[in-house]
Amino acid sequence: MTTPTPRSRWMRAFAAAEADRVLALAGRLAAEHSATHRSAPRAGLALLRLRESVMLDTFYLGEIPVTTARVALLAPDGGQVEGGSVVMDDDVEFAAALAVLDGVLAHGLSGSAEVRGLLDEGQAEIDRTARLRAAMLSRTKVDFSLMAEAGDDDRA
Amino acid sequence: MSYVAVRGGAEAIAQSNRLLDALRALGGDSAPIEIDAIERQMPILHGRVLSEGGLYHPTLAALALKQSLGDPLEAAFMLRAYRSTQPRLATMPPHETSGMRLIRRISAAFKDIPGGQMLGPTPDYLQRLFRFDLIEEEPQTFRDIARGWLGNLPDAALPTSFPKVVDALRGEGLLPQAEPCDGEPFDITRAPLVFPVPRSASLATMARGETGGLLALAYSNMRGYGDVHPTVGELRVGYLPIELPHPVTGELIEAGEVLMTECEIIAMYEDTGTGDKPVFTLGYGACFGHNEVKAIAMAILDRSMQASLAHGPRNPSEDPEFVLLHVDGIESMGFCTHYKMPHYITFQSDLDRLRTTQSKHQAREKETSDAR
Repeated sequence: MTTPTPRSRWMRAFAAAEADRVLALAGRLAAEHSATHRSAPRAGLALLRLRESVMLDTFYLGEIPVTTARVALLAPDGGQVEGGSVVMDDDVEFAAALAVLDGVLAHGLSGSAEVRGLLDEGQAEIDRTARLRAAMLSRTKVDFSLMAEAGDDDRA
Repeated sequence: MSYVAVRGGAEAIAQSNRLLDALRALGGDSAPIEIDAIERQMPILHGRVLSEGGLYHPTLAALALKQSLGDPLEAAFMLRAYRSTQPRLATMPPHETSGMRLIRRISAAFKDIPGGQMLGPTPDYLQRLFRFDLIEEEPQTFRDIARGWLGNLPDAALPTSFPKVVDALRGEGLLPQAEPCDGEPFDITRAPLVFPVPRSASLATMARGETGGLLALAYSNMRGYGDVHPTVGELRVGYLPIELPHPVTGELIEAGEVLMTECEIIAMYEDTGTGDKPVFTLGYGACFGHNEVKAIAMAILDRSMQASLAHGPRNPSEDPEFVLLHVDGIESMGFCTHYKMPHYITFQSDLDRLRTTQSKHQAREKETSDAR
């Protein structure tokens, strides 16, 4: 049994899923739950603040594109619940779609199972990328002991 | 003959712009370069544009390279121009690079570093011999390269984050102790550099500095106009997770990741004359993309500029004003290429002065000649 992806990682997982399917599902669920924008989606930039590791000062490495969206969804009891998104992209439509998916899944609204399925697909893609990166490291790991056994001079 | 700007260049400029675009397609039947191909097949050049443009937007960086016919300075300029049109939505909390998802990690200080050394993708061990088979590469052969390398990926993801070499050295008391500083860093996109500037301004300026500019100044230090004598404590390439607050809950969530290069150099200890325990000194470099030359050069310059705090600059690479005002590619390119623009009036002035001076010179020579 796999551990459910925590909400703090939903955005990256949704973004890793197939974009067309994300937009299609979000569009359908937005209509089903009468989604409205709590605030207009906004695209812009954010300063990336980095803590350097030698003196532990912070500085700005540069900027990244950021889009945020916040939607209200109609709950079964007639009340409203909220969903939100923040993505490293400048696609307002996509950010709004993720906000709908976030709200549906976070509040267990109808359609949650489909959203969970999409989330799992995105997470599977992230896992595949992680395995690829791990392979980059493991296959190029330097075995200094073998060099020493072979009589090479490793004292350079 | 007139030296005053006149009308008449508009059509020539329009045609020149069209010609520049047509150059991409003239004289061949090749397909247009796809944005994705630039990003994936020229990642080093692409990363350079990301870092020198100061904006991590992979799609626009690739588009900028396509539009600029492969000129990294022009491409970085486009990113800077674009960023200046965008609103700022957020400033992030400090991100720690210890959480980077690495694809490369080496140390020149120790062979046995915690977690081991992984070469990752590097040209370091290539012999710089041509592979002529790439001139006419078949699409199937191209796809097979990736398939052949991938083979059987491990079932479970192995760790890609590792402890830092400098932390181990600090634990042994060989490096200066440091406390996290959470003061507001200098924002070079909003305020001009007025010297002296804080270290955060230096690091930010160099992080988006031009690779060749940083290298030239760091190289001057390496060759003898300085005495950093660096050892690369650790060089890392990997993906830094980007965390931003969720718009509803406020909880920090992962919004994406950026590819970056980071370098920590260890330099010789200095007798401070204060009676403190001698420890190694350090320098730090980092930038967007995979650019090891830039990260190492930046770390050397960081260390060399710190040296000037103790005794003033002894050479150009120790002088923050000299370094920081000359490493920005957009600024230096702009100043250099502005000389191509019409200077008809100023040159007319130069001509007038020269002719006047020549007349005076001629008159003096005549006087001398007449006196004889």
